[in-house]
Amino acid sequence: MKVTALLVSHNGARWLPAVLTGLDSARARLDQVVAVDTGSTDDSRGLVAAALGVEVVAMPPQTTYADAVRAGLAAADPAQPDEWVWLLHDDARPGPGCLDTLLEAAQQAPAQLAALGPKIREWPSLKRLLEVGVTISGTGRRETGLERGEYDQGQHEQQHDVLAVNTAGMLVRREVLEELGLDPQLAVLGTDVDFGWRLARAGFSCQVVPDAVLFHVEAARRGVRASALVHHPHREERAGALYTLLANSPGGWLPLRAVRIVVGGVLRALGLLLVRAPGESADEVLAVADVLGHPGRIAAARRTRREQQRVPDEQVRHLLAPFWLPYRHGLDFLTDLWVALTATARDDLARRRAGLGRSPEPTWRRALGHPGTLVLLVLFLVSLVAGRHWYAGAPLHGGALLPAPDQVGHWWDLWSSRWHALGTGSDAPAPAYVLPLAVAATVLLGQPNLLVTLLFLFAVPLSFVGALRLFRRLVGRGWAALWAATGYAVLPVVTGAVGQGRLGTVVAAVLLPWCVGAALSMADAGTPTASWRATWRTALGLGLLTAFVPTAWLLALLLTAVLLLTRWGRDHGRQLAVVLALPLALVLPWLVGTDHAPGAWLVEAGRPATLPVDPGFLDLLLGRGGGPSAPAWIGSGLAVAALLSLVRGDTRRAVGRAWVVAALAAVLLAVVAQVGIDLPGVPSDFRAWSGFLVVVVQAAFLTAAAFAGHGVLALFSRASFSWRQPVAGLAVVGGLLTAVVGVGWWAGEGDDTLVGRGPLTRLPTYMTQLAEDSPTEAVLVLTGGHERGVQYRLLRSGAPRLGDDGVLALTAPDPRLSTVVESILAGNDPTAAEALAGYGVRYVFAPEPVDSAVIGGLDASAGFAAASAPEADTRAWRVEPPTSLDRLDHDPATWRPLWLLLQVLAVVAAVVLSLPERIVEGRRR
Amino acid sequence: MSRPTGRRSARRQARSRTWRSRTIAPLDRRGVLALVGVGVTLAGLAAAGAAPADSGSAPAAEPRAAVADRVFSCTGSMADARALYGSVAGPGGLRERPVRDDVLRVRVPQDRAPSAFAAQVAEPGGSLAFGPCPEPASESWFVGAGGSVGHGSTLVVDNPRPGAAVVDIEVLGPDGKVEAPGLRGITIAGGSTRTFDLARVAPSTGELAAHVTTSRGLVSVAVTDRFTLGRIGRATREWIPDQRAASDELDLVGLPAGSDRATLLVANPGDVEAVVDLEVVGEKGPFAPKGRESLTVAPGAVGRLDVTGALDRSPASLRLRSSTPVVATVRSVTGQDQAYATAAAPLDGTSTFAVPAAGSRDLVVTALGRDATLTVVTHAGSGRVLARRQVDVTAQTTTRVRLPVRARFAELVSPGTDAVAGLVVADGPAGIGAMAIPPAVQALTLPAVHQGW
Repeated sequence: MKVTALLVSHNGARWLPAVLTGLDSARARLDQVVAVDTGSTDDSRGLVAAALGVEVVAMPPQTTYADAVRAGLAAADPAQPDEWVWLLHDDARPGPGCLDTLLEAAQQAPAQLAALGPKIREWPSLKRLLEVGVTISGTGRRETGLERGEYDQGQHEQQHDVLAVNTAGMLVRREVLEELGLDPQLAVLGTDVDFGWRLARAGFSCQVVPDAVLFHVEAARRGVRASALVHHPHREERAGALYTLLANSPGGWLPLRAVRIVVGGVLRALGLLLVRAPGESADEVLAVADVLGHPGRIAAARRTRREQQRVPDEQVRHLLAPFWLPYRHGLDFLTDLWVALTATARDDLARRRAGLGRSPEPTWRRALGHPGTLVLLVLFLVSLVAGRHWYAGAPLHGGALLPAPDQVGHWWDLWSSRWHALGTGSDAPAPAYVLPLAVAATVLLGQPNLLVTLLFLFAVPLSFVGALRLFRRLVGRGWAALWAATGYAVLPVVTGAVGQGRLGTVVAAVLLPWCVGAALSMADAGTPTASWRATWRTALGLGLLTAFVPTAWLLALLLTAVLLLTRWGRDHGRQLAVVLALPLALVLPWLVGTDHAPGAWLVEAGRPATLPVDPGFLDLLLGRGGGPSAPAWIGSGLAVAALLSLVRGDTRRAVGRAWVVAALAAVLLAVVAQVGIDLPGVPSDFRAWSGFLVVVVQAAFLTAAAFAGHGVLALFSRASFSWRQPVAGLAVVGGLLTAVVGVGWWAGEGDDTLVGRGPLTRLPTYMTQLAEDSPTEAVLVLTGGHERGVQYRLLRSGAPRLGDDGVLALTAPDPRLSTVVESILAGNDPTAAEALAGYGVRYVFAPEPVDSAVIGGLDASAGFAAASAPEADTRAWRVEPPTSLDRLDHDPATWRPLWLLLQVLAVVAAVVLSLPERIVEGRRR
Repeated sequence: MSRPTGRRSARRQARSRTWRSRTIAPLDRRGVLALVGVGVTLAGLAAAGAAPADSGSAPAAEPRAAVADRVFSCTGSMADARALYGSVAGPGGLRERPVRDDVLRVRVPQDRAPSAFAAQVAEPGGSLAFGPCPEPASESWFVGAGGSVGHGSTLVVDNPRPGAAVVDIEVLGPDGKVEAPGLRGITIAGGSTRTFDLARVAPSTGELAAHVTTSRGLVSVAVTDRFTLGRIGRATREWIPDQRAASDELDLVGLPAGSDRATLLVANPGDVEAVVDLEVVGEKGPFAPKGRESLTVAPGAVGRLDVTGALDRSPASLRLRSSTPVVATVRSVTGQDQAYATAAAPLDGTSTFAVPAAGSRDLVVTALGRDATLTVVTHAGSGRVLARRQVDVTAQTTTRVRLPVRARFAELVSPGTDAVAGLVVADGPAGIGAMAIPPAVQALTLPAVHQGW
């Protein structure tokens, strides 16, 4: 029995001295030592030569491990029968007696036992087990059968058959090694599993000898070695494993394996993204692409293997990992994720509880007896009372709110389409709020109407939750924060946003406290990492706000400009830039579409130009956006309190800051109010509803008053009497009244809204049903008359739905359709009906009062037959010629898919970067 | 006082000092900044509150679009009826063409539509029949028709447009509505004409009023009236001019001077009794005709009042003020001929009308609330302008303008809406004719069309 040691080194000078010492102790048993160096740039080669006293075979740096071994064997003495080769790495140190133990096993080995491997422990810890033989799972994962970081306590002492052993320390019959060879397609990583698998299929076996111990750095896998071959260890390891799977699996399994690799790869990539490991996620995708992108390589590998195989697949299957193993890993992964999330939440909770001390009471009882919870409960109940007419009926609509679509697919279509069959055809982008609405409605099991109803019904309690959290954080726990949160929570109803169907303001009021909270975290986070995470959170929040109320971004721009005047702002310029830039990417497809309609930036979610907007100074000061709302005097207490808050000296700094925010919002409000907004699809200039800015001003007032009011009663009761007590009393009473009377008004009068669940449209049901079923069964609605002109609206699928309005507002009217309608009214164009049919119009509908010109024109034109109309004095006609969509503007938006892709990437990036880090030690040991 | 209490009060005093020293601090830089914030906020909100209020409203009315083209239906149905038509804008001046059995439709393209005119004229049995050719409308009134042997009327309903029309005809008589079940929901195919003889479909005696409405489409309607004066007199024929919707303020124009007999006929389509007050607007001003100041008409009925004595040879119009919307006409009889005066809408813009060749052709203009200044442009048959004359009419008076002998069509230009006018034709003993001059613009406009929101 002859033993040849084969050492391959590559930039391993860090470990070589110890490795060579270990080798030296086994020198007596070695008949021959061959050393190969693959272009080391450190002094590896010199070290090896000096220690072993042999000539080192020099190879170029690109040499794979397989080729290096082949070169070493070529340089060695010719093979002899019963010769064994001991493969060694420059980062693997054999333990004492390692070779002796292996040789002992080799001497007793039957002829078909071709390879023996030692137990491998971690170096430099020396205690942790790395491998006691390896195998591979169906997903290509390298399986060791060990727990993560398992200590070697002699629990794996049985010599047994395994699929493969690591090439580091492997003792292998030379004739087998030379016959089968290592696969040069696998650069370094994964050669062992592939070799073991082929060994098994060739009828040989492989055993691990746990009594022999080897210490391994795993330099290549961990990326601690400067290597010309391994640049992305994770990616290359994955690619190698997938290659191994595809090259060695039985042919019948191949298609299934390929599908599993693709699906599994995508799932793993998504999972890795979720735990903020974007690099590994990309590796995953690239590895799959690399392997599946070279089918020729796999075909060639399979050909070679077919020649070597002597044993059917069934005989080696027991060596592979069981089928359920990947699923167990998946479960482990989810558990890790859950643990990480709960740990973060717990930390958060602990930070907020710090200083409160521990209470012996159980948490639930403490929460239930808490005034905040009680107020929330009251607001919730009042919501149910105030919205009592909203429980059933058609989708919620009215005022500026269009009914939500019946299916969430409508929103997804709207968001993703390059062209919309709305009106006369449009390539305008969907409004930015469609994507968040679509996501939220999908989460609600595809119920858009439920989503909108919940938002409007529970706008107050929803706002309260965020506001209470924010005000407690700003001014501390106490009655002031509770009062301010209540005052804030009723803003959506008292400003008129809920009653007028202003979706943008409603959602913004709910989101704003959270967004502000994230922004505050940027400033007071403990670590730069946490501060950056808060930055991404803020940007994500601002992106959401911008989607619903683009004006929010303009306000953020103003705020940033002011912040840059401060030292903090200058120090955090990059973070502020991210906060401003990322929201633009989050609304990118819409942003690109507003290049010819900049007015859209001042228009919030909700149908623009439906209600007249004309608030006066007092309305704005007292928190009314104009239009139907609560009486303005209700807000007077808050304004007084906000003004008087300046009197208190020790909080003046914070109060002043709140007033600066109010001032910026007011300036923006003044600018917006002066602008007559011109949108292509809206026939007249209109003034934007600025409910959001009004909410910001009121929130700033509340903040100022809360700062000054926090603890003021206790403070004053201790001070001697002066003029300040009545003033403070006035402020407190005023502020309290605003909140309490606001809630009272809402409970009593809150149901008197423009929004409701009445019938969607006056169109006859048969028309809307036909229109919903087919785009070529549209309805042309004619209103108006001689006095104000005739207006036409082309309803492609019944009543327009929430989101459609944004597209239509950005779509210029088709002048050809105007001409067609004119010629119909003139009643003299025999081809008018055909032209209208070319727009896919099946019915013309004129609600009461119908102008004589409309009746006369349609009755006089050929191709229109009277159709039944539901009410007296309304008229309807059926268009007789066959309908088509030939005359629609069919140009799609060319670049939309690119913008959508960038938007999705931005959303994913923002979500991933604002999620907490996964606290799992081990993946990147 | 125990020691702890004393300590607490001392602490309270200390806190109170802190409070005072912190709260009574004078306005520092921070305070000034906060005050600036307050000022800017209030100024911003004030500026926003003072922003113009008109924006955000519904789209403003836009200029009206002109109708593409016009079509006149000259119904004829009288021997030797001739259509007189033309356009000031078009070449060739006045054209004249006989109307035979079928309706003659005069189509005028868009460029000539505003100044187009069409009338029909005939001399049945030596008298003079004259009236405008009707245009499609959804509602037409004819007061003074008859449904008996001595006095019968024929409705000619023409649908000149491609789409079918559905017509309802309602007939009012002296005692209320006349039952005529066959006159409801009549479909008239596009481009076809139907004729209804009231004596057959709604036989009744006395003065009738016919009300034609369309539930679909528009139709042009003319009524040919056959009237026998006296027991054995010759039957004369006349076209009863159409009138639009009922109104509680009517100005009847086209009263021939010095007629033998003048009868006011008032149809009350409403459900309540109409009390109609009369006033004659004469050359010198308005006056109430003695003994004929008012007329009461039962609901759904046609009332009559002899107004012969109220009118003399001076130019006049008759003003009616009614408690409920009514339709009215004055039938004037001179010799063997008759003419109908109808309610006219105030002149507005340039009205163009044909003038029949006859002995005398007088334009009778009544100024309404204010003084009116009108321009009369007369054209020869060739289209050449004969005369251009300015007419000043004092408020609440009526003036007669005699048209030149060779005038075959004329334009009446009214810068405001202060006057109504009628054309009165007298041809010696042969007969009389009258026509209200319609305002120019109303019949010509269509609403502007734009995409709604």
